Amino acid sequence: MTAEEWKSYGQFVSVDNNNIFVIDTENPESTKETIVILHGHPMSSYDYHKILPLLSEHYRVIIHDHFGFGFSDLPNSYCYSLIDQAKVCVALWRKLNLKSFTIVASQYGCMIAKEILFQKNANLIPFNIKSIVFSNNNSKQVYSSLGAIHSLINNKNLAKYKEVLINYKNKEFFHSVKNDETNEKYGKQENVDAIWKKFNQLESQKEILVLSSYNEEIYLYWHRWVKALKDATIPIKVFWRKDDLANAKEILLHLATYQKENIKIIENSKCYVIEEEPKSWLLMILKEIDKSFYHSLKEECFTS
Amino acid sequence: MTAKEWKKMGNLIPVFNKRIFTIDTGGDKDCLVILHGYATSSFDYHKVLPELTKKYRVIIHDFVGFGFSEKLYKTYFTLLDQAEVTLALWKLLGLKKITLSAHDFGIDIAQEIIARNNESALHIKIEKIIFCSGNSSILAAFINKVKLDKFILYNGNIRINHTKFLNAEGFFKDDLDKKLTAMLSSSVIFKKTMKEFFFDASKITDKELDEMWVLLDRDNGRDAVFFVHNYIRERQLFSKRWAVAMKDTDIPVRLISSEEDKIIDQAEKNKIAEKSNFDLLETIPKSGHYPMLENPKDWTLAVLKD
Repeated sequence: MTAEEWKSYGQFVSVDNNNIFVIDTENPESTKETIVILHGHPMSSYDYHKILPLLSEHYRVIIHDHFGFGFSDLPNSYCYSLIDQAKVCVALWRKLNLKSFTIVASQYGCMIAKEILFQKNANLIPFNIKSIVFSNNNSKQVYSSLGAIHSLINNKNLAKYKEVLINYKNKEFFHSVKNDETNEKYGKQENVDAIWKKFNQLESQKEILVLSSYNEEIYLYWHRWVKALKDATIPIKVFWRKDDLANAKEILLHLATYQKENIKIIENSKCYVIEEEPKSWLLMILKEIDKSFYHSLKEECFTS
Repeated sequence: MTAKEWKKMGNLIPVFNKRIFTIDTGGDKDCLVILHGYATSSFDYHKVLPELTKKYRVIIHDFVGFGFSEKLYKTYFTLLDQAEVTLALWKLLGLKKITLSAHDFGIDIAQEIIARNNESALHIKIEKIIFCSGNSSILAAFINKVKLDKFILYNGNIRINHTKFLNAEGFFKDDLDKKLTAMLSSSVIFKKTMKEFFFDASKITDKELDEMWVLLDRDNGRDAVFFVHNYIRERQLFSKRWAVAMKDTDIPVRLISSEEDKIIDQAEKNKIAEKSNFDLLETIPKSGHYPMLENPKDWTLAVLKD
């Protein structure tokens, strides 16, 4: 499926006078149970095009692109915050008149889901959230072709340096350390040129601002979101992989402090990722949230 | 008045499982809610409360981690959390229509509340907002927001503007951050720093400052309060959101400021007066960062003015 085809399946909903791209597989009158998907970075709703046909057999599936991702707008008045992304979700779901649903979140979406969970616990939002699935569905390989920009944005210190980044007038930034070292870090001169070209486009600056505040917010809202998990009474499934360090750390902390019956931690031991093993990935998730669908789908896979 | 006497005037109200010290003077007059400033507590208002009560039903609460409210151990209680507790408290008290006034750190929480008010997540009508001696940086961001729009529109040069407002915050990160962190280290430094925030240090007695220190220090309060750095980060993160909220709100905004407040950038203040849609800019002469303690009469007059 091409991105344009994907676009044709969806619709644009206006939130705060900006357009959000949403895919909703059913009519509002549908009696199917609802699954809401919060995508991760650096992907968009398009991540899920391989599993959508299967999932929509049994569920009303709703996926939207967060502000600044995919086909959605990035408003100028936006403060690049996960808190704002959560507010956008709430506004969108209200517009779609959703009442009761399960959330399946990945990476960046997980943080948004945690904020939503917090608001749910504090009775700030009116939805009946049945359960939440936290996962990491992207392969690290996605980044490999973007190696250079990846090493830049994955830098934990970026938040500190965004001021410098924004302020920088030329490519000297990449050469400010000893020449040989920098070249090793950011690759060849053409990579530096590519990063620089991208960075000079307005949209990319926004991308970097979004990502830099993402790191900052994980730090700032640590207690708030740990509390969200701690206070939660709904079933929560957390999938983790060995190569997912940030997530693994959080889980270890979680296990060390309190074990709760409604929270289940599952290892994605075969490191399924959505773009390569969509079916296996979906089966892994369904096994935890919908046993009957899981069995029927598994049978289907075997017979075919 | 001692802190002990002050405590008798209020109640501990449980909100989200936290005990919040709240003073509610009651009655069926118009309602004035006060959000106190950083490192201090509702006790700041002990000199002005009697006069305010003549016109208003006054509600002041101590934020979580401050004054007589519950303190937290090594946890950063975010501005969002504070705003939510505040809203929940108002809901518990059954407030319908209020005049919101905020000082310093309270302004950030007030702005978050206004942002939520704009998002109409709030079912309470705020009549007007009175800010006093607030940190101008958020308002500076507000001004920059206006400039920023123009730049995007005509020049497309967004970087200059971002840098500007980040630098404005940088000033507070470097100087104020250190000062505010240092003042928590001992009662002597606390008293010394607090006096610096006054124009006329003789207006505040050592005894009053001792009371404030007790309020700050009780229940391992300094551990909880030790959050200046995070708070400045969070404020920077939301400066744009709040600037938009302040711009979008149709609630009349009044700005009161002290002439000799070292925390406010006086030049910036005039710019705000020129370019904002705020109603009027009241200035209290010969007063520092805590006008309600230093010049209670002038401050009360400014707040009560229609």
